Amino acid sequence: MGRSRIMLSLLLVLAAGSVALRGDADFGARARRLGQQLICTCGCTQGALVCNHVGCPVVTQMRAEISARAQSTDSDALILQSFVQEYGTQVLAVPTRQGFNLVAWIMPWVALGLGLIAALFFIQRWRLRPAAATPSPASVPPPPVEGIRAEIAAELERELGSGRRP
Amino acid sequence: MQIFGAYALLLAFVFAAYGALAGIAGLSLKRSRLIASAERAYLMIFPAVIAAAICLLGLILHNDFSVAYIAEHSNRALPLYYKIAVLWSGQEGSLLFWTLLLSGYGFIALLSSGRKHPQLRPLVAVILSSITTFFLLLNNFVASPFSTIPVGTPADGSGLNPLLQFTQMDIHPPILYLGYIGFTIPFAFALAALIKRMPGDRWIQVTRLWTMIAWAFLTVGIVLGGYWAYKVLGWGGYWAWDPVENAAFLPWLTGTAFLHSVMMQEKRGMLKIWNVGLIFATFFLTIFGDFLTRSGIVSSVHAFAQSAIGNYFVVFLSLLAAVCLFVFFQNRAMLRGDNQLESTVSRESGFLFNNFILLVMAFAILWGTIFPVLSEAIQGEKITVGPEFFDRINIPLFLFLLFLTGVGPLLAWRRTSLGSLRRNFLIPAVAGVLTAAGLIAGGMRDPYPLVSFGLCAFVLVIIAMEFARGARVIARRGRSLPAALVHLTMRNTRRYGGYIIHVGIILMAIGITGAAFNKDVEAPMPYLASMHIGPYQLISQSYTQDDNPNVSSEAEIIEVRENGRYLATMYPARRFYKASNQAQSIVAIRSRPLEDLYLVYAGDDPNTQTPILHAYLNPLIMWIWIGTLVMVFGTLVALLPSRKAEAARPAAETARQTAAESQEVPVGA
Repeated sequence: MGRSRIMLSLLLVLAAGSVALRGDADFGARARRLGQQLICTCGCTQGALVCNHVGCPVVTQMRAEISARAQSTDSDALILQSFVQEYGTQVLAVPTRQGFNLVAWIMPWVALGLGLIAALFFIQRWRLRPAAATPSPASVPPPPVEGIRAEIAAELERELGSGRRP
Repeated sequence: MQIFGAYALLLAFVFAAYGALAGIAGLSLKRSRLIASAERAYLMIFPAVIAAAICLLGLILHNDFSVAYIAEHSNRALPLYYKIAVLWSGQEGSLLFWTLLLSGYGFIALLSSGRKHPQLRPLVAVILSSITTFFLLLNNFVASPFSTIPVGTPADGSGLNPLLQFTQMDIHPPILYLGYIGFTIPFAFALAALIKRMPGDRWIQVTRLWTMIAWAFLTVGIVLGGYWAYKVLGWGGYWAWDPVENAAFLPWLTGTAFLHSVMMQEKRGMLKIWNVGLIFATFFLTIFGDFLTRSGIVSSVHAFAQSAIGNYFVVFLSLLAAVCLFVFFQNRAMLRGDNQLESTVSRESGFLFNNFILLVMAFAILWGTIFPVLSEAIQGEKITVGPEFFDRINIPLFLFLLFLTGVGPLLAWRRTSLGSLRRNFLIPAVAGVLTAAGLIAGGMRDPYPLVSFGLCAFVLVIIAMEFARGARVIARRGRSLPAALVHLTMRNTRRYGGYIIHVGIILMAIGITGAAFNKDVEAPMPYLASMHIGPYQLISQSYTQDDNPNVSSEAEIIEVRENGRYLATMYPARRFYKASNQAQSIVAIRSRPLEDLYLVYAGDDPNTQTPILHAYLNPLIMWIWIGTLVMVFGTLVALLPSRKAEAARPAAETARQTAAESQEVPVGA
């Protein structure tokens, strides 16, 4: 490994480390955790801890309720359910994992699985397919990556050696 | 002026309808004069729409509140630069603006690219005329910006929405629209080529060029939207997975997929059906995005009010889908490609996986966006699909995409030996692992940011090595390193422009990952009170007030100190907009490469009337904006013609060189 590469790696490590040291996240309060799972129902569609609309008729009361209920011994699920009863299902920031709402969570992963199967199927099918009979630039034997780079380098040498200016 | 504008719009509609009908008749009956007249009619739409837009702008500047649109969206005291934004700030005006840009794009495309493709030109004109007819139909008969108030003219207007009274709003919508609408041109060329049964390689170049232009505008438009949200909405973030934000992101994802997969068609004759599908899907998603924004079916801070205009979009989208599917199935035989793969470890596979991930992301975002509507239709209750849903699904996919961005340049077309891959992998992988190790040593434990920063280092080192290899050869001939880099880049602008765009993506990824370490504190701040966030101490010093005919404002004066040392004074404020009777927070931001200190005057405590300050510490955000600038620069480079030494190249080497040039990196993520 060359000196420049070592320097580059060190610089990256130092830069990343300095960010990490300054990024000591300050999460963990129960009220905050609960608040992050709730939406302000004034119509702004922002989180209950995020909505900052001046004079919002809902969020101030919601935050007070979140703070008060976070003090109770009830479970998080029970507290969230109490908000659903008060404000409707729209108050939850994400769909529940029950009933029809479960479909919301499953479908993207189903698409990922089906897409993966399709991609692998096509790769396999194309690998088995015989090469086209008509010769084309693409049917020239493929040089390895290093070969291509050496070729580009040689061409650059020739080009610069012949006195061409960019 | 109002009547002149309305007639100009009506004339534009007549031109568009004639262009579509006469063009179809001319092509069916093979009447060249009819075809030519249809083309000329299409070219006349743009001047007519310009005339209408100038009329509306003139009416806005002259405070003509007899026009309902102006009475609703402007007021006398509105500064000139915001009055220009009135043109696109409401439903009717923004539809006219859409038509203006659409006809402008078509005008330029037909006169430039159309000339190079005379076979496609008449059909492109018909397709563009048909699309423009739909929008002019809305402009004239559904949402006319020139409608007058039936009785009495108000003395003053209701004013521009306070959220729109920011400099960014003079730039963001036009740029975003240029992105959205730009995808109409590649769609028109692709559809025309398919109808004409033209082999892929001839039309694919023009499609790719226009897609790149639209993609670049859409990229900048989306980021400007994020920048606006960050500066204006005052919640400390820039992206909330709002339905309208998602609507702009969807065509960006499919457009990015196309810019990658189109190279499979150019180099290997593969994925012809897929590419046509992607172009169709991208255009379809731009219209779908417009539908989401205008129909009001989803709740969004960016959407226009709920209106019946959505029904027209549903009909148009259905027609569009029917036409595309019909043409596709009629002509799919010509799209059969030479899909043949020699090895799984090849660039073709890399692109396939890249497309697969981009499309799954697009599907997941679309699914999350429309799920509340589905839920309401099926269960009878509207639910919320918030950022957590989108983050959970998209973050792992995005990290895999980041990995592919790095691996791509290490893969050769057709076949890559594992030994070669291992050798080229070593140094970047070491850089990635060292970065992650450094972060763990620094105290970071969250796996996603660790992987993200590690991958960013991995990809950056790969790109740096690609530049270094070429530049070293040139520098050996006595050129300076910067000159060598410029020479190298200009030799193959598409390849190195693509690399630069990837650097921009990585810088953005660094900025986005910083969000994992966001902090915020909210507290009442009476005079001389102080609060701490991160290394900063914030001290409330005083208050200040201001008043002008448009707004009155009050600001907190906050002194910022670090370790007792004075750093800055910041002024988070609240404005009261007189015409609309609405209040709005004005954020104060101290932006630095490592972090942004972001202060919001969050209102007054209802009991004590003490002002409340909400302070956010957002690490690395600046890199998102810098990354976008780098992406724009990379796109401009990629659009430049390459300076290759074609003449000096021996003929015998041409075929091998073709293979070498096929090492190009796509423009996009």
